[in-house]
Amino acid sequence: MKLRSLALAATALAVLAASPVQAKETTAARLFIADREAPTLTVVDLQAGAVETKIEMPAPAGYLLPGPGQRDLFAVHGAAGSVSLVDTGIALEDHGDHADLTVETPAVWPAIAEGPRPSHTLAKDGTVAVFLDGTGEALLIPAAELPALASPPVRVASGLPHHGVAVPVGENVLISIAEPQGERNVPVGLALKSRDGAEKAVFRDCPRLHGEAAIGPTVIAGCQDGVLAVTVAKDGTATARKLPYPKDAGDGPNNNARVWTLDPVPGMTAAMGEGGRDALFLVDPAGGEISRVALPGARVHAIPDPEVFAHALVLTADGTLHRVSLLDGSVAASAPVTGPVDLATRGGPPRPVVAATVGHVAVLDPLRREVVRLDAKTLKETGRIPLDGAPHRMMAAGGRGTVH
Amino acid sequence: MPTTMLNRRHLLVLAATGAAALSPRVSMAADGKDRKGARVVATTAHVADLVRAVAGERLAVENLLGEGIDPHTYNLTRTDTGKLLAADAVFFNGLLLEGRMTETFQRLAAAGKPVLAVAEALPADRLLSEAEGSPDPHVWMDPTLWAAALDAVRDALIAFDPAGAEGYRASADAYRTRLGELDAYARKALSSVPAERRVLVTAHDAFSYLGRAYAVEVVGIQGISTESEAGLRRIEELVAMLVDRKVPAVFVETSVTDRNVRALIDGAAARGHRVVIGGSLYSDAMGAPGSYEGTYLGMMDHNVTVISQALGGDAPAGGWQGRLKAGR
Repeated sequence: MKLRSLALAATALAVLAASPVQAKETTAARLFIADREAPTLTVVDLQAGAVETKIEMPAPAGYLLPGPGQRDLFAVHGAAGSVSLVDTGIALEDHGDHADLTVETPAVWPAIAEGPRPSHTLAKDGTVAVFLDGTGEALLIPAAELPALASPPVRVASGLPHHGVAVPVGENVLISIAEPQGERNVPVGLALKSRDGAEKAVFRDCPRLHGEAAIGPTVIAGCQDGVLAVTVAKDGTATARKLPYPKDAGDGPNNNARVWTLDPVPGMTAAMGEGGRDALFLVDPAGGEISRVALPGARVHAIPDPEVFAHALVLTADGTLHRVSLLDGSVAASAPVTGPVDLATRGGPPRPVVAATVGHVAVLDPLRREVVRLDAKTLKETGRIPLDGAPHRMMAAGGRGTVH
Repeated sequence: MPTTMLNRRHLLVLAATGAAALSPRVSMAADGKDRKGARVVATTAHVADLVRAVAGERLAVENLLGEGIDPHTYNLTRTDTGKLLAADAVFFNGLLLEGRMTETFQRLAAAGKPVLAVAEALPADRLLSEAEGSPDPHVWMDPTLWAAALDAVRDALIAFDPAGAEGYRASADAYRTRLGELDAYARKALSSVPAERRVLVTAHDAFSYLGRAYAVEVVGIQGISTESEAGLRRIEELVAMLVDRKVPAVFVETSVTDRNVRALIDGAAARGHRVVIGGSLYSDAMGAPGSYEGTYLGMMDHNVTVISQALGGDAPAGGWQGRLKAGR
């Protein structure tokens, strides 16, 4: 095991020295930052406010995505054709009335899945699904077998290569289906298939499908004209409904606003996604509606707030980070973080990324090659961490628990 | 089912400092505000009924889940979330009855909202466990246990609104007397059923506390949560039991599909034993708002009377207070 950072070790020792027999609740938080050009993952200790270590990866990661549990992330190396599992080293073990927090060395397990152009990777119902854009197949992997797989993944074909997604649903999988449109294959819906590829249901009403989330038994997918919500019952039967985007954007037509990503909101049976240049959409499958949440400026990046219920953390183009209510759009807090962000130039520099975990909010500024740390409650800046290389993706991992 | 956070919490209340209290017996801290007219949101009708029994007209109590809604599987809508956020206090049953909503209550509590999990305020040694080890959440099925929950609600409301303390104590005392009377009626009505027939077969395991209180053997076709499923083997086992013990009736529930119950009836008929549907029982939901069965006392009166009559006991036609409708 590699040495822990001094800060983490000091924290642990302080806890032990102060109360050798008493357990104390404490917090651990890390950032994981992928480089656009180099095959490295920079790990930042948010408590200490410093780079903790750098981990070699098989290739640069195009995406960092939530992993199969609280402890892990996925790193997707699309061009190289593989997916890695990132062990954040922060583990919580629930014991009913408290949770034990363990902090270990972070690590990367390479090549848990391989194939042409992996993209969307997610875990649900104990299964990890990796979609291969290059073939239009989904690789299904038992999450319990990670990182060392006992057998080859199950392959379920969609029929056409395309940029797609697969979501495990019990013993079945919802997989995107595509149609040729010009020179490209474009996703147009979802098919429910068994693991041996038998088609059980098809829902073709989702033109230009992109973005997905699972909310309980319902899987939602972003479409050009709304959000498709597919609910699969325990007996494997599926029903679907289409939720239309709000027609009136409040200050005018919604200008063809649509969701491209969908993030479940913690504690709500709802997900948030893009809603046009300066708004978010809150997708409420149980209520059967999509509502528009106006933002105080043009959106650069937004994530659900993991610590403040029913709120989102939104970075706007003027470089300000806001905490916004997803129910009424009111702004609970704001803080200047980066300089103005260029949203107009196509193919411009990577844009800032927001990440948050227990007690901490962080904004990656790729242009200035630094991470801005903020207090999770007040959004007051608590420090800046310089980075090298070409950082472009970032995720946070953390936990609050008891250290014995 | 959601994971780690669930078993950990009983929730409850936050002190004025905003610190989260994890003890189920902590009462809601007062913050000096005049609470008359405060908005209180409860999840199920039976929790709302209990809070109203104590709060009377002093607080505006609303329940989120209407008639016939199953709390085990309900997904909060955006509108529901807005109501919870706007509420001055939130009461829910807990012990994972409101399965998919539990994380929401935890986050509300963490944000400083006074929140009480009524069933989690009960002494652990009075709770029943299901097969997997989690406590059975259907505590309201035993009026004496519900009286203990009444005390927790009273104490919570007094802490939340000290100015209303005298009224809350008086209302709780009066309601406790009614619960005692209901308990006496239930004991008499159910003990009149011949012992060998005192078997309650229902769609899901919601009646174990009633069974324990009144010496009724309770058999739920599904498990404690309506999200569990009954396999073919389970159905066959139950058919054999019905036939062997000549159980005359099984019961459906207003908020749960009757598919499995009907499978039992068909299975018993195939073996030459006639089993009827003894009636529809209220399990996780109550009757229509404004009706007698839409109150906790009326709901329990209905259940006890229907069970007793269907299994051969001699409960009166109109039930405990003569208020039950004929032909239910």
